[in-house]
This record gives sequence, C-alpha cells and structure tokens, in this order.
Amino acid sequence: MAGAVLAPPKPSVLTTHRTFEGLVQEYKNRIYGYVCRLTNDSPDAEDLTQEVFIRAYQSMSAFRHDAAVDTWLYRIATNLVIDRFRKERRAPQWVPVTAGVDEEDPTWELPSTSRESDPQATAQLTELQRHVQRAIHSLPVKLRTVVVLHDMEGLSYEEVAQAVACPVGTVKSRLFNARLMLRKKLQHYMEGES
Amino acid sequence: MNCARIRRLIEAYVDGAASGAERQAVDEHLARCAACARGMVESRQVVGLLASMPERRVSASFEANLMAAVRQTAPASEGAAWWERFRLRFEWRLRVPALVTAGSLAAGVCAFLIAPRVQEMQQVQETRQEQRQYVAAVVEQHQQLEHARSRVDPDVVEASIDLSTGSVLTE
Repeated sequence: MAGAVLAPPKPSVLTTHRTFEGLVQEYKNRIYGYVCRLTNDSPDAEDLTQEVFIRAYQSMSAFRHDAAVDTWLYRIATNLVIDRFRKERRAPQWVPVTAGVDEEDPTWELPSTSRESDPQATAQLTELQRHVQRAIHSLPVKLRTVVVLHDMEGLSYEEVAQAVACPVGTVKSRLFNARLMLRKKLQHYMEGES
Repeated sequence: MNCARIRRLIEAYVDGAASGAERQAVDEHLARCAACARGMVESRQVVGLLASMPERRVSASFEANLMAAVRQTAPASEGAAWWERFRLRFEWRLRVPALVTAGSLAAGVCAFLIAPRVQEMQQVQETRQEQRQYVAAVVEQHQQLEHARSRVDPDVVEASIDLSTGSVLTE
C-alpha cells in the first residue's frame, strides 16, 4: 500500500488538486504555521495539523467551492484549535516562547535576508521575533485568530470571515483591536526600529 | 472626522482596503493630527513585523505519518457529508437558536426536577396546619371543661365534653 495514491470519496476538492497528497503537499506548512501561531508552538502542533488533514479527508465530499480550499482548511484548523482550548479550559501554556525559538530547531527558519551574514543582526532579529510571538500569544484567542489569518497568513477580510465563521465587520473590529494591543505591547521595539 | 473614526480607517488604509474618499479623509486628517500620524506609522510597523515572521515547516516524517493515519480512516459516510456541509455553511448562524434551545431544555429539566419537591413541601405545610388546628381545638375544649367544672358542684353535677363538637354535656 505504501506509495499508493489515496482515492478520496468525491473529487470536488480535487478539481484543483489531483490527489489528496497534492493537497497536503501544498498546504501542510501553511496550516502547520497557523496552528503554531495559535498554540504558541505547542509540541502538539504537528499532531493537530495532522488532525486537520484527516478531518479534511473525511469531509472532502462536503466541501463545495463556496470558499477557497485554503480558507476551508483554515476553518477546520481554527475549530480544532479552539476545541482544544476549550478542553484545556485555558489558553495553552505548553511551551514558553522564550524557549520555543531555537536556532538549532529546523522548524524555525529565519527569513533569508542579508542579516543572516551578521550574527549580531541575526540575534537581534530573532529576539524581536520572540517578542512578536509572545505579544501574539498574549492576545485573546478571537483576536489572535483574526490577526494571524489576516496579517501573517495573508487572507482577505472576507476569507478570514469565512475561516472563523463571523461577519466581515466583526473581523475588521477584531483586527483593529488586535493591532492596537500589539502596538502597545511592541511599542518599545517599534520606537527602536523607527 | 474625529480621531476615533480616523484610527479605524487607518487600518483599512494600511491594508489597502480604504476607498478613495476614505484615503483622502485620512490624508487630510493626518496632515494636521500628529497623534493619528504616529498611529499610522505604528500600525504599518506592526503589520510589517507580523508579515516578516519566519515560516514554520513540518518535520520530514509528517507526510508519511499523515498518510498512514489517513489510510486507517474511513471516509465519512454520505449522511455525515450532508451534515458537515450544513454545519460549515450555517454553523455561526445556528449558535443563537442552539443556545435558546439549550436554555429552554435546561429550564424544562429544572422544572421537572423541582416541581415534585414543591408539591411535597406544600403537602407538608398543609399537614402541619391541620395539626396546629387540631391541637388548638383540643386545648380550647380542655379549657371549656375546666371552666365548666369550676362553676358547678362536682358532687352534684357530672360534666363531660363531646370531643366531636366541643360542647360541654351535663347530666
């Protein structure tokens, strides 16, 4: 069975992705990144991502092109993570952000910039990213979900609304509040930048 | 426009989602409001910081593990498929009616559990009231008997009391 192409129940999603493997190949890192942002780099993030794709596979026949495939996957991921939060009855504290960023960790890849050649600049950048990640994690989950989807995953207001199942006006309001909170939390670093 | 309104428009401006008129209103306001101008700069910086965060990548074994798990998972049945489709489309619209239904059910269950208890308490109170009335009647009869005995010569007249009516009987 190894290497065999999986045949999903109906081909609705597969008009753009010929196989389920193709779907996974295209979206696995995006969904994993999204889950990491929401869960503060939980050790379970990869398991949660796997669960997202399993649910997607199971409900492929239910998918219709009302939304884009990525929006659909983000929605499954959002529901899954929020369900997990509810079970935990609190925002997850699995891994402190200060310990979650490890330069030796292959899953944490710094962007390819000229700063990579300068160890001091790289260290400063990594430190800044730690603070940003910490600030994101401090947001209430509803604000965090919206700001991550819009500002980090690049979804439009309408796509975010579909992914989190709320009106566009609510998305804009949450985004405004999330950015306001992030501005306050990161003010020191932004003053340093400017 | 006041600063509060402009600050909300700034977010749309930064996202490139503001209309021409909104952009003009923001530009005019920022030209004379340093606080909002600063807000615009900070908002752009926040968006820039978020966009520059590094990507995450799954481990090399992710795909193999996932496919192994998927092969053990049966696709959802057709019944589940229509339900999933329904849930995806209407989930957030169903939340309010679902809460109302859940609240009504909870109220019904409470009423079902509490009602017999209330009835039982009422019965206990009624029984106690009857007992109090009976005791009061007995006490009153006793007092009447004592009163009758004090007025007549006990050697000549014998008195008795009819407990059913409370009246004093003399011979």
